[in-house]
Amino acid sequence: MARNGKSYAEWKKERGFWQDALYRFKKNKLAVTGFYISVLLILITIFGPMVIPYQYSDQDYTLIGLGPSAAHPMGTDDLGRDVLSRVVYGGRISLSIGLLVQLASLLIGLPLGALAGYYGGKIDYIVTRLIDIMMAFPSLMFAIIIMVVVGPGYSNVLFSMVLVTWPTIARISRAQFLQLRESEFVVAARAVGATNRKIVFRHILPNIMGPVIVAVTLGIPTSIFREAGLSFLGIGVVPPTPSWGQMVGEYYLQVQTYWHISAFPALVLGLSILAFTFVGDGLQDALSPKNTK
Amino acid sequence: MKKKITLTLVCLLLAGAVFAGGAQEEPAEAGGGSRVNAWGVELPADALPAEQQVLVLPSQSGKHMDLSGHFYEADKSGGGTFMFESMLYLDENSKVLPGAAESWEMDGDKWTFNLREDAVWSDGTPVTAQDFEFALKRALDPATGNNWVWYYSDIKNYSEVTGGEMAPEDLPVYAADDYTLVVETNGEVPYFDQIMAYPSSIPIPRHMYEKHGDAWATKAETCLSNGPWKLSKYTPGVEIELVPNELYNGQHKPYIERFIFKPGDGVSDFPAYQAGDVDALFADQDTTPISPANYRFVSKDPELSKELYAYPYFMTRYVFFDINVEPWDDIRVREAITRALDGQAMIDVIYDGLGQRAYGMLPPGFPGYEAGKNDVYQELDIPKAQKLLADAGYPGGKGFPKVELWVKTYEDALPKTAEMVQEMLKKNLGIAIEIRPVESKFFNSSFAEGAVDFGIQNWQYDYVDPSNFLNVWHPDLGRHDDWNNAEFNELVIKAQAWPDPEERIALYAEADSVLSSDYGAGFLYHSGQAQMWKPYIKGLSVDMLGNERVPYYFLGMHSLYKIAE
Amino acid sequence: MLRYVINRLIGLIVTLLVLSVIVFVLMHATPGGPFDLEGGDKGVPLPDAVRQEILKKYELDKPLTIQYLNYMKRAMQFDFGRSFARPSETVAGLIGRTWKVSLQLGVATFALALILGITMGIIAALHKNTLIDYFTTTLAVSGTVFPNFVIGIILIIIFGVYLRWLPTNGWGSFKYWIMPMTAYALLPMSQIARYTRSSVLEILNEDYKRTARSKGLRRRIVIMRHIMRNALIPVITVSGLLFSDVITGSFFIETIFRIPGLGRYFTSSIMDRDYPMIMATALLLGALFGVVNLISDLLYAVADPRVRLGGKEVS
Repeated sequence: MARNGKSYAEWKKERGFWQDALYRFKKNKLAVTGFYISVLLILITIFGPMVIPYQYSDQDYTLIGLGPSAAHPMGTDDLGRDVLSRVVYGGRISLSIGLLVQLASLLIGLPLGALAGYYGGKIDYIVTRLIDIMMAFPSLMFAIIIMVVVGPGYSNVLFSMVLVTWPTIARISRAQFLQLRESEFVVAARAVGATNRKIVFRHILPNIMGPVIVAVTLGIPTSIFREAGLSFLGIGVVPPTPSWGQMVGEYYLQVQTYWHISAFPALVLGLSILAFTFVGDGLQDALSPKNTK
Repeated sequence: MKKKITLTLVCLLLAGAVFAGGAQEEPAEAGGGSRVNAWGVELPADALPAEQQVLVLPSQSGKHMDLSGHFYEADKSGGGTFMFESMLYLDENSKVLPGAAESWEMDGDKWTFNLREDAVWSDGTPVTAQDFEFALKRALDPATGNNWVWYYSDIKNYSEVTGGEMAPEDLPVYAADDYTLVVETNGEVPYFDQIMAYPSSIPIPRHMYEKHGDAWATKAETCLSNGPWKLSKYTPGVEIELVPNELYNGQHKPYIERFIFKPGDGVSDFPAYQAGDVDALFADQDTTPISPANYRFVSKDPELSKELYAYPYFMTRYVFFDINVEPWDDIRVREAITRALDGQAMIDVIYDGLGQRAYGMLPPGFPGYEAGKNDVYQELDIPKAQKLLADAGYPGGKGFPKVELWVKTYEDALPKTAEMVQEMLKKNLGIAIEIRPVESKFFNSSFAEGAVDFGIQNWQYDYVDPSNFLNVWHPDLGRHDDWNNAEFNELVIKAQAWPDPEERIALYAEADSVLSSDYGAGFLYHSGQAQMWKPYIKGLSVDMLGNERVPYYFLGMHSLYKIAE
Repeated sequence: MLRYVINRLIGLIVTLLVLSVIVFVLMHATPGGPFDLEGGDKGVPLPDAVRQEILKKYELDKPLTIQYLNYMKRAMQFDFGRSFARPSETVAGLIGRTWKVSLQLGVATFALALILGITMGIIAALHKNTLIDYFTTTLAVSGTVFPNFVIGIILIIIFGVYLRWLPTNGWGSFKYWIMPMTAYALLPMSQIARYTRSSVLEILNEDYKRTARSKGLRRRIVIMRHIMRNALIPVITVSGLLFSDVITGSFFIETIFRIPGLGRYFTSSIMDRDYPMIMATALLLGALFGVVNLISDLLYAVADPRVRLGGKEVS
């Protein structure tokens, strides 16, 4: 990397925080690998179903439980459906749930946490109480109760999972806002007479994006996992819709008869979780201002 | 460095614990051992000594041993059906055998059961007719809250007592003397002996109940038995152990001395069987011991397939329609759906061929079943189905309203069946339906409220008489009021009290045809069942048709014994 | 400090009260009641009188607010009623019996996760961005890859069925603990490993190293002493949440391994509509999490004096 004769410290200062972070991120091979895999998985799940000749729900009773072959690279399941197309379509479900849940939690949690952390007082009290209650007991149990009340289905899964996930983001957002509003440049900005709005958007937000992005990225595997748990219990998506968790949950006990029907979705599930985790960890390393190595 | 050393030590410790713990649960035997067991029965020549006649079985987590008062929640597969001797027994050919009663007779609408006079509870107290009277009256008492109460609907005044209009003490079930029980029935009920041959038709030790109330059936000390075995260890859902009740002096003395039950949800029972941690895979009526996938695996395995015992079973699975709701009010639509569903394919795909296509409510082998009789109404005929659908106003499935197929989720095969129904309707008729998987409780309560328009149901037999299957469809006697056919209702009521047994069966057969031809249901299949028994267990029953298995609730256990592995 | 603790405890009680109302409402909003026709598929309707008796016995025929108040009144006196699904046991007794098991498994699991996780995290951090780091991190993270019930069944098949080294399922002496512990520990282990790694990295970049080195100490001692003290404390306080998660029991692990613990009851009591159990477990878990969080925060404050507990209002 050409530095044009400048010292590292000077060079670093000139590039700015975000580019510096990018540089650090790229140095982390795991993170970069994770990134490419994540993108690849997302692309496959988006475009895959358009390319694969089989429909994920087409049953063919002459092809039951076949192992991997040329015609069906991941084999067929116990109703004669092509496992590859189900894994790819299931990826759409699992990944979209993971991403959308985090996105929605961000949109809800970030502003709520900000309000609580910045303004304090009564708003803080209410929001903190709310967060405490939502986090008071295992999210899975909460999600299960909600799913039992509203019934299974894709949108209900999204709903119940957002309900149990937004407190995590809100908590981080609030903690960051709490910390930063007392920081020097905020105090200075206020002394100069800047409006609250300006302070929040210009000074605080950019600085908290780091931990928030990390939380969101690391939250994706958690959400994918939770959806797998719900589908395993039979209260996730509705058949014949597949999701990785649903396929693993339905067939993991039959691993001695049909190892391929649960193995492939489990592997892909694991791969995506690994990928997102590496990216998240990499982002955490990169965006943490204390790392200078 | 320190951490690494600690880590290695921990690993070594763990490994040591594994091998020290060992994998065997049964103690190694000493030589010799008695050839006569605790009840004085001489063991077969190839059997292990009496002390080693122990069976380890999986069980579904029941909650107590009160089979009379709360049959559903009782520990049926956890030994509850072995501890108590019911009034009578059924063998593998559904023949009625003596149990607590040594003789019995029907006189019009009165049944008399003569109990063994030397029968005692495991604490020595005699088993009397009053114990039976008490049990039945308590079972039908609304205050007991017994879900199984409908099973005894043939007893006279059943509706008044369960409706709260008559006191349970006035139920016409009484002890003519200490060893004679008289039961009055609603008209003539020729199969009532079968009703009394069920695991819920047991006596209750009144002296224990009076002292401990409902809790009598939850502890080993208070839960007396009048059967061959008694409880020695009992924590519901955790451990259950049965040991010999030496005071048992009935007809059916067994070989096996002890039972150890492993209660759980059954999820890892199959690996447990493979590893030898349990001696068999079988269950009570409501659960399938071997999942279809494991069944496939086993039937293909040269060794394991020898331990597999598959047999036809009296059960029927069907889709039902609420004829008060569109589009099911149009019989053409119902027929179209029925004729588009390939029940045989479902048997082949889901059950690996174990079972057969259903054309009516009565299963093959059941009295009243006639092969081929209802085929003409219910058999697969896709072109006809398509034409009917078009006639009804939905050519090619166009314009067909959105419908939800409700299905329970307690067993794998049900959602699978639903998925196949969905696919068949899509492919054959162009109709897109949605599947609504629900848990049993919710399904049952919604169904009772009439909120389910279209769903999958099944019925398994409780006693061998057509009324067991067909009463289900009568709005008052059974659970289906979504289809109400006057001719059917008339036939069923008439058949109930018909004196001539052959004509009676014929009436029921006709009712079945009415049901099939009016499409109250689209019948799918009768699936079989399978059990697995380790090769060192001998003495399985073989019925008239040559099926070898251990009949679950009935006298199966008594002929089993263990030989050397 | 004391005032802070008291404030937090009061807040916890308020939280629990609100939680109890929410759970109560949700419970009764779930379709299907606890005594609706069970029994697999028979579902023959109960005669009304029988139904009424059942409802009356369990007070389910009273209006909801009365039911709630009655429940809370008794709960204050630590009477949590009888389980609907297991009428022979009181809820307190049932939870006592089953939680003991989950607690045992949970503590053992957590200890394993802690030891392995911290070790791996330190190794990875010390060799940051090298092959060792990637390998160890991947190894650590692999715990999150498969759901623990999948790992569980694989372990059962390998060690129980094929090798016959361990019993396939059940609970008892230590040999029954090994497989569930392993399957269960993987996820917390990887969380701990990753958090240790980043925490150690943070310390490594501080001045400690430079300062200590300037005193002339050997590198190894420098690392061990200062890492241990400074990096591990945040790890342990964060593990508080993991700890409370693990000791309450996992539904999946306990079902697959046939362990008579509390985790199974979370889900089964919801499916059974066992209202007393649902309420009691919700309250128990809420209280547990609250207390563990409080202890975590206290430890964190003790360890790092820069952290200020409690916030001030902003104009």
